[in-house]
Amino acid sequence: MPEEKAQGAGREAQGKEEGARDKGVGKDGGENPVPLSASPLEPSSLAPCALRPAPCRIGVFICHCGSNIGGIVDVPAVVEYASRLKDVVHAERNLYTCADDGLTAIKTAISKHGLNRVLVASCTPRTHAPLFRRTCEAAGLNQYLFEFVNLREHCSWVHMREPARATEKAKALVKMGVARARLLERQEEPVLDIEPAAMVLGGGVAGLSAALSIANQGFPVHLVEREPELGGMAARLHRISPTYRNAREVVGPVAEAVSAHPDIRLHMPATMTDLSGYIGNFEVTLSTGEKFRVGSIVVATGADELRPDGLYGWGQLKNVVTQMELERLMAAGPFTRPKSVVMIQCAGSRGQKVSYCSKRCCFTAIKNAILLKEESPDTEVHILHNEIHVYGVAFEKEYRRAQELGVRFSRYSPEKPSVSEQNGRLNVNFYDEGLRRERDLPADLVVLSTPLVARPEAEELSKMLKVPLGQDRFFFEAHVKLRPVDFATDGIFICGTAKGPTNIGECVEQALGAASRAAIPLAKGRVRVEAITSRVNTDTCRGCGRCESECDYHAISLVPVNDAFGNRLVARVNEGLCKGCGKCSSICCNRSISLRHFTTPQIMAMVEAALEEG
Amino acid sequence: MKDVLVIGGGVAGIQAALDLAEKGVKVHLVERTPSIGGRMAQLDKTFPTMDCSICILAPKMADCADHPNIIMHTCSEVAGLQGEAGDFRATVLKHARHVDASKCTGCGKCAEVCRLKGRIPNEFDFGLRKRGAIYLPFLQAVPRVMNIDSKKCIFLTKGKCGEKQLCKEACERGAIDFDQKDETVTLDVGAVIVATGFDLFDPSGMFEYGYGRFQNVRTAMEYERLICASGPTGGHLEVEPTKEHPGSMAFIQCVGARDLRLSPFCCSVCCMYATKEAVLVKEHYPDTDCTIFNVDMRALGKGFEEFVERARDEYGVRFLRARPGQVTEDPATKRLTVWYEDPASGKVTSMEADMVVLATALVPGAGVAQLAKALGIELDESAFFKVRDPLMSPVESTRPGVFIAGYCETPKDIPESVAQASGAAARAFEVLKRKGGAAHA
Amino acid sequence: MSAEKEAAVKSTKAYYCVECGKCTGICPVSRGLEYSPRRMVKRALEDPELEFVRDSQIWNCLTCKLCSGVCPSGVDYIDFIRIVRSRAHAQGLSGSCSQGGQLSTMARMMASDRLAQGRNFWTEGLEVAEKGELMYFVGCLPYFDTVFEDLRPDTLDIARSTVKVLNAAGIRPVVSPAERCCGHDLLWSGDVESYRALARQNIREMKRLGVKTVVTSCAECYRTLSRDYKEMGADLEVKHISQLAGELLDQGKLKVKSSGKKVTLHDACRLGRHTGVYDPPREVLRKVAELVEMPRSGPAASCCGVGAFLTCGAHSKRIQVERLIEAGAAAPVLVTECPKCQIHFKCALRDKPVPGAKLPELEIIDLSSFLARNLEAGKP
Repeated sequence: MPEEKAQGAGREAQGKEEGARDKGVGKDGGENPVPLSASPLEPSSLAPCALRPAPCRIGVFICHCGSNIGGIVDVPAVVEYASRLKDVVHAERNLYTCADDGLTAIKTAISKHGLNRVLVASCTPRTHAPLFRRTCEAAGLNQYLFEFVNLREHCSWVHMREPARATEKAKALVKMGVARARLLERQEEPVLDIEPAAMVLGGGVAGLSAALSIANQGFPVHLVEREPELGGMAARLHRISPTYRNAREVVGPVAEAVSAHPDIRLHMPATMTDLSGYIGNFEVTLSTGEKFRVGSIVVATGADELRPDGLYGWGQLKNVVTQMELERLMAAGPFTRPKSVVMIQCAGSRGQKVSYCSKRCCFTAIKNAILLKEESPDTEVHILHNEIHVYGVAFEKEYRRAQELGVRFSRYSPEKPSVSEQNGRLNVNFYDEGLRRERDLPADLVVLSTPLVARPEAEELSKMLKVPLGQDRFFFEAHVKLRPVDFATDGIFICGTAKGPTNIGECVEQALGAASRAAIPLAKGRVRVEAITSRVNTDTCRGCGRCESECDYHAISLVPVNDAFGNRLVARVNEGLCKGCGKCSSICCNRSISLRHFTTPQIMAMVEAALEEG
Repeated sequence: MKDVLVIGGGVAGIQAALDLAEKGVKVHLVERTPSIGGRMAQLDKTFPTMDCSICILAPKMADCADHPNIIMHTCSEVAGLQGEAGDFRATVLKHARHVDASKCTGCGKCAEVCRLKGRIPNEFDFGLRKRGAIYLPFLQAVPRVMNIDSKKCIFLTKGKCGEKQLCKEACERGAIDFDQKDETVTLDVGAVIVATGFDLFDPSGMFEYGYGRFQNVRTAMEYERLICASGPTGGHLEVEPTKEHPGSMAFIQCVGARDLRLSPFCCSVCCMYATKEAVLVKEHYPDTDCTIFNVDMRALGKGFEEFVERARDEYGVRFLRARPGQVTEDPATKRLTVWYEDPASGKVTSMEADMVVLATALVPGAGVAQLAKALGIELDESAFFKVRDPLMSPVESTRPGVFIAGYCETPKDIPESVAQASGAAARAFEVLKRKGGAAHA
Repeated sequence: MSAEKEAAVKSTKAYYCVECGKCTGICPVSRGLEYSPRRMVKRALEDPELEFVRDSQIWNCLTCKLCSGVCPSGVDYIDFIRIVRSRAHAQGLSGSCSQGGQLSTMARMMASDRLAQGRNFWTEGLEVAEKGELMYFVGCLPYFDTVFEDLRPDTLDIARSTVKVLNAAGIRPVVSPAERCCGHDLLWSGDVESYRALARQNIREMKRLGVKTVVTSCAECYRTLSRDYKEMGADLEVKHISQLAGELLDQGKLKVKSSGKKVTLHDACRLGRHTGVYDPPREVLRKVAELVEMPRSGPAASCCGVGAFLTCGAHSKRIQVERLIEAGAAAPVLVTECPKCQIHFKCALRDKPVPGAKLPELEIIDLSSFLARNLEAGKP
């Protein structure tokens, strides 16, 4: 990996130095003729590359994406069209440009035709830009001299029924891409040093597991827990499905290992009150006043059990409890076993207080029903559900075991049951879909299977971490399929029920997953960050401060300088924090801020190409 | 630091390999088939985001191929594991591809001339497409190297293939090598990660649904290939014998799964993928009626419940709470009738369907017992790899230093497999560090 | 009571029901009557005193076992219904028997020790033994010809043919004049006591005659003798004629010729799904005819529409008509392996035709009869 510029380039850059890294001149002809101090509006930056000393040599690669594109767009016609565009010296099509042979074709063409710009017209840059960029780098072409046109999402998929017009649009998109490609400049990715330590927020099973793993991978960990003791929600359970081991026995050993680990520092009770910095260099302040630096952060702050206020008589009727309350009752030792217990599933979830399925209530109810039956076989236990959501091997097996033990399951539908008190005894009324009639079940104890809900503190934490929450107010990961424990923000990871309801085994899996991911930058010691950040033209910056107040990532600050213009303020970009969103450049009153790789001239060239005939 | 052995090149194995490789660990990625990618490569789209499956996986596959720290061993199997955590010696049997990977570009000219071209059912498409004896498993295969099916190749089985070996003649790079032999290599590794995925239950034995007898009864995985733009029909669903797209479709859940006589467990993914598959039908053919038959709609994940609601309310997918008792076929028209107990009326009702898709159980791989023996690890009663403690040690096998990730441990979806794979990578890295004396137990 | 229920729930695994309704979806009764096996199970589970046995629905089940064949929870529904019926019978309830219940009355009469049997009026010209190791259990065949005279089922031809086939292979089977009804119908209509009385007498008689192997030409006798008598302490090897004939053909002791006919086979519930005998009748048939399978065959085979001569009604007729049409589409000859299936199909064929509905021209013949007609000449 070329890491020659390893000096943490971005962090200290300021003033005129801002643009320093744009100066790189490579053998690939990516010279930047635009003077660094020049305004982006200067005519020279709009000039086509043909006027430059090294002519543009653009290669165009058009992907069939199987039949995703090729089945609708006339790809050979687009290739033929592209080959006639100015500065295009090579155009070809590939069945899958992203497959090995497509990538080889790009590499071969770069050397064979001396390409200094590469354009791939295929799918979405979200998934494929890194791959093509890497391919260009491997062939010696700076990856920012690569241009991506999305012919699939932007064209073939949305114009499936109009192939002829889709082909015309594809040509236009390629033309626009070529127009921008001419103006692309090489960019360097700053390399940042990493503080080789991590912080884990939350001392439940997820946080404990993550902390222990990171420490065992060789990196110091700061574990921050808001309560005075470790263990979180799991430690408050009675026995844990599917192994039925005592919660204390399950959580105890890992809590002890964490407490005894020389590389784990416990901060307890404590919460994080301030966070600044970025991957590799987060500056943390705790409620205790302690401050430290870490390279990565794992969020494992857990969830709460819903308080079923106003539901099924909870809080009003005696002997209506939640599963968690039942666990505490059972954990406290033998209590008078009721004759008849009715459990109500989805109490508060799936359409009541929250819309989602909390995933764990079914196996929790089944576990508690089994425990009740095993201790007191004559107790009638009835689980009222709309659907039984036990999954995998172990929980499904427990469901069957509950059936064997005589736990009764009845499906209520479509309305949820109602609980009332009649002659001093609880009564549960519901429509039994299996029997196709309304039923009344007398009960001595009604147990509500309530969902997990996001913690209210998550809101503030998400702001501090600058990571998003989903619509259910649980933390939202970078990609639900392939990046389940990452946040979109580099260096911050998520695991456990803070992400959404799940079981303990999965919490630990996610925690270990987050520990693996969080330790990657620590193990590397350095990380490269995106080059697409904002740059400030300090000669024109008026120091108005709009960018500073508008930046969602707190990446811009106004700093005092004393130069030819006198004592003044100018905007400074912290590249470690800048996400390249472009908001600053679009609100800057005189275009003193521009976004690397998405400059106004580049975008205007595309617009012009789009409007141009032919 | 020692190397790590990852067994299985599906999404879990890929993730584990990448995590470790990024930390500077050299990873041996062993895959039984000629290409990495696993089951995810066969899917059309993924729920609930409707990402094109191969499109989001292909970059990761390419990352594996490109990564300087990852060494891929395809067509290979692990035959034994000696030693202990931190200091294992793994025996890997590398089957001959009969194609020199360093020379082959995967251009496919050899496949064009193979005498068996179009005669052998292609595994990747479940036989819905035919291949020759020399073939590329699928378009986006990694590595992009041709493979000779040594059990089918005329030359390899009979010692003679017509006048001359056409494939060898067609190859401009001299990549075909009939003399290539299976070889056994020994790898020194510090830790092992097992991520071998699952197999598919064959529903031919379930007479009630007529799979294998009725042409228009398909398994869900076959359907994934049929609806996929790069699949055998180019993404066009075709009903036999008319070849028209279906006007009505039924999806039957839990086929062979949650069945005490077959696989008692819940596969954890079928409710969601069936919903996705029905939505895909609706996207392709908005007028096609889609009904999903299931008993418990297990939408247990972030955004899943909402996805099901969208399928129902926006796309008009019908969800019926019933397991159909029987599928019958009109022998003349090949149209199907699905018989079920209507949850609303309580009466037996039938619906006509042009195509029925069976959500067949995803079951432990056929070779798990052998692999477990080779690795000295245990299986649970359902033949999934046993973990030391499903709660607090969910990635540790019964042998120290050997870790488990993905569906082969217990049924789970892609994100859980990916998270667990990273988790296994964390544990493997801990072992390497422990041996190096850098960390604490 | 609740202990009895608990035992029934346990032995049939009824508690595993997940209310999926798959049973109802395949149940042939449910397609006519409003009937749901899983709902019956649910009612039993939720009914501590089994009050629901008073519901006449419990008599609708054909006990054809299609439901259990597909039940993902492995609930033994037919055994469940058998227990439920015995409970109902104990409360003095019964289903509505076809033929005014005369067959079950006869069976009940036979259960009495004092009633002597004289059954062997039909064996003239056939080689039968009084004692020996191999017995041919004739079952109710001698009675059917009388009860169903209008249908001309010629069920005794089945008995004669069976003996002919055995004779052709050089076997002189024991045919006991003191044999009694196997008790099948009583067992399945809840009269367990009478069934047991019959079983005890038959077992005693077989022991007396020195019988070790019993061959039957009736699927119901086969099931009862091979399964249920075992529970009564019988130590017998039981074979359906198709199994024994298959063995004799394989050993070369029996020689047959091809009929040149195209036939199809109706699997009897008791031989197929109840006891898993699918292949032997097919193997035998293929030696004498061209066998064409119906779409629903083997474990998927439809029922003949009536079980234990209970509740024969419009739904039974519908099942029979459907099956006859299915058979007619496959072949001009329908071979049965249980005399009751034959009676039920012949009954449906004989009925006044529904205007517009066309029943096929179909020859319905028992497997033994078909075999006997295609024995290689020259052998007696």
